[in-house]
Amino acid sequence: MIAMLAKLLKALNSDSAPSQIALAFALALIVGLTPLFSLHNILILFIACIVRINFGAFLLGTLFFSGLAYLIDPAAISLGESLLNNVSYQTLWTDLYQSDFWRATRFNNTLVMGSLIIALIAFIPVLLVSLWLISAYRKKLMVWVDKLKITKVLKASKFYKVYQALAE
Amino acid sequence: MKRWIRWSGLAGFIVISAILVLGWIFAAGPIIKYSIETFGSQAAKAKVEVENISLTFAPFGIEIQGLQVANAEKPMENLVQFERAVADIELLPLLLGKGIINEVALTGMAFSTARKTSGALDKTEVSPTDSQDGDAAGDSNKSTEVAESKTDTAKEGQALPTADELLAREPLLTEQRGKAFKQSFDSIKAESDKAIAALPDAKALTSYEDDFNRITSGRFDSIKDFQQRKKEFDGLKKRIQQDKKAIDKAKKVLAAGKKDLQGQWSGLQSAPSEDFNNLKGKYKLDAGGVANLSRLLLGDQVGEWSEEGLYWYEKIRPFLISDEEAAPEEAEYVSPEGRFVHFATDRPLPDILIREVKLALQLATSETELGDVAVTVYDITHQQEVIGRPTRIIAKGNGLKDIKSLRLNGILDHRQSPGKDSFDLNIQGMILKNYDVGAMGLKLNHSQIDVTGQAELIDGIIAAQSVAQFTQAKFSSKDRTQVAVEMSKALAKVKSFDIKASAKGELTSPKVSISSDLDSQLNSAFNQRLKEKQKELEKQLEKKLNDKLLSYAGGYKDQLKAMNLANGSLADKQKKLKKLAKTELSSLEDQKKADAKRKIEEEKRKAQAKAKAAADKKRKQLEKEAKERFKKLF
Repeated sequence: MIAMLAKLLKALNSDSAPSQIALAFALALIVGLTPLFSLHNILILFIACIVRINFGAFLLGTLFFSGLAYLIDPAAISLGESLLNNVSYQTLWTDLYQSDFWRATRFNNTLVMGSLIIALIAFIPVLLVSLWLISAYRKKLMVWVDKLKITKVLKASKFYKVYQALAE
Repeated sequence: MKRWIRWSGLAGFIVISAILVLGWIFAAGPIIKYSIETFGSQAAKAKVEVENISLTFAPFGIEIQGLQVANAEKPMENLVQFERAVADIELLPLLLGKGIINEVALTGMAFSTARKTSGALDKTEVSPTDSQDGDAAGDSNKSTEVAESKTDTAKEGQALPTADELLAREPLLTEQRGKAFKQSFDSIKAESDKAIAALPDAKALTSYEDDFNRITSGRFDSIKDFQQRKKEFDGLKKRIQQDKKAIDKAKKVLAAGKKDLQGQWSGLQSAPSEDFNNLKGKYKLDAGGVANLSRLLLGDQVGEWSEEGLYWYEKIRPFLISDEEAAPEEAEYVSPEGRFVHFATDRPLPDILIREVKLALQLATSETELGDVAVTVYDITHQQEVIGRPTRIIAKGNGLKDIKSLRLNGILDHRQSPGKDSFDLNIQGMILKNYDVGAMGLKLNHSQIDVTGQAELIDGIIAAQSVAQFTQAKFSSKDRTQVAVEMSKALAKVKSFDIKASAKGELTSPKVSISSDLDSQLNSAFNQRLKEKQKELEKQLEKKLNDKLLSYAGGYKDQLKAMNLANGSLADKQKKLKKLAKTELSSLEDQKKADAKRKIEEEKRKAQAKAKAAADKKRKQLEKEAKERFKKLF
């Protein structure tokens, strides 16, 4: 956990593109908010593997959003219910239901549908916000934090040594 | 772009995925094999063994080789076995936890094959429930034995019984009454012998007469002589009175015994005819008797087929459908994992579905193989309400040896409760050769049979009926008995007949009835022969029953004769004794009076004689004078 957090900090402080970290967060949002054992998450995992994103950020983000999911799930289920029972979309759902592939995605599950929609809607905002936050952190916060006494104390700590070891 | 692609990540993904897939491939076979053997053995209560299981990928599926399911009741026999089964499994529904198998192809399927090793489960594997079932199996073995013995009895029953067999197997009135008669006869004979023994014999009666004569004849010399004779006379009379009483008693004993024996005798005499009528009614060889013939001749075979059919139906049914009612959906409860919303589809997915099972059943008789029957079972699932279709069974036998066509359609519809299982059977042009009918050496040398049958099972109640139409029938008999010969002759005229069988009621104990127009056809032809046979049997029965009667009657007639004679002699004796008893000893004064009377009578007689002599003399004198006067006139 410490190592993972250190990796994240290293990534934040390194030359890694902010977009790579932000994309990791955004992908983690989908995996975290939706039920883990879903077909679309294999796709996300595949993307996370082959696209050069920060994997530590992805894993940490997954943990974070999974925790957040417990709060969001009731709303996600309600959303899924309303979408799947919405008369306007019945034709779409019925068409998709005829396909084993789409049924394998469990799209007709209220939680999968609701949480995936929430995650997809939040994907871009999370990506952009993460991008902005990382940029802001690097430009302003990192300099200001380095000057803080607590930072100096932390740099003398074991945690920082681990961080340094990983950073090299 | 190159900056965004992480090739090492792609390789890692592929490697991890490959490891997972390969691990599953290698582990899946043994896991599935273990599951089939373990859970299958529990379900079958006998060893279920699988030689090998492997996964196939084009199409994705599973291949099972060498499966054997032992028969729990006969451990050295397999209930069923097959060489190879290939199941084509849909991959994507597996991700949803649904086992959708498009097709299962079974080859080398065989039933009731011999095993090299026992298929009984090890004791450690047998749970208490199993051991109870084992007991049940034992019981079923017993019941099988009983059934076998019943079958044997039935087979024995196919031969017409002889008069001796009939008499031996039936409780006879002749025997019952005969035994009672013999007992009464013995006791009455003893009583009458005792009573007769107490009677005076002829010698005693002569001595009584002699004594009477001696006492009553001659004159009393004196009063003392008179008193002496009187004493002897009274003693004699007393003895006579006692003998009279003994005779009365003996008469009563003889009369009562005679009446009792005569009553029982008439009952015994009528017993053979009553027995005969009973036997005649029971073993009636009339048209009704013939009506039983088809059941007697074919009933066992039909029974065996029905039992075998029901046995396999009950064995296979649990694998095809489930009677468990689906739990009602809890509409209000919302799971934290959400719920699945279902849409109209022509491809609904129950938890387990086998769309099609294809197998070839080998039909065989004890003598020859008839060929394969292609069996296809569609939509095997325990959730018929999900797919909206019942389970269907279609068995087709084309080009079978000695069968033109065979078709069985079955529908196991459990979409609604109670479920309904229905079957239609159609067999055309089945050639039956050398079917041993069993009785009287009869053989159905050749016949063509068309069979149609329907069966419906609802909630454990069966309603089934079938008609087997026999044509081109040709019977023969090796037996040279007259009955067999006559039967053969009668059957020679029968070219076609039908057999109708029906079963109704509880599946476990249905009421089976079998009828045939063979009966009515045979009726007229066979009736004449039956009458003869009936007469012959009746004659034999009558003779046997009469022999029995005579064996019980024993010396009844002689005894009766003796009793009659004894009765006659008793009457004579009684008469004599009565006469003797009436005799009275006269007193001394009576004797004097008698003397005086005798004297007067003597004098009277003398006077009469004297008067008669005088009258005769006078008459002769007058006649003489008359003659002389006539002479003077002429």
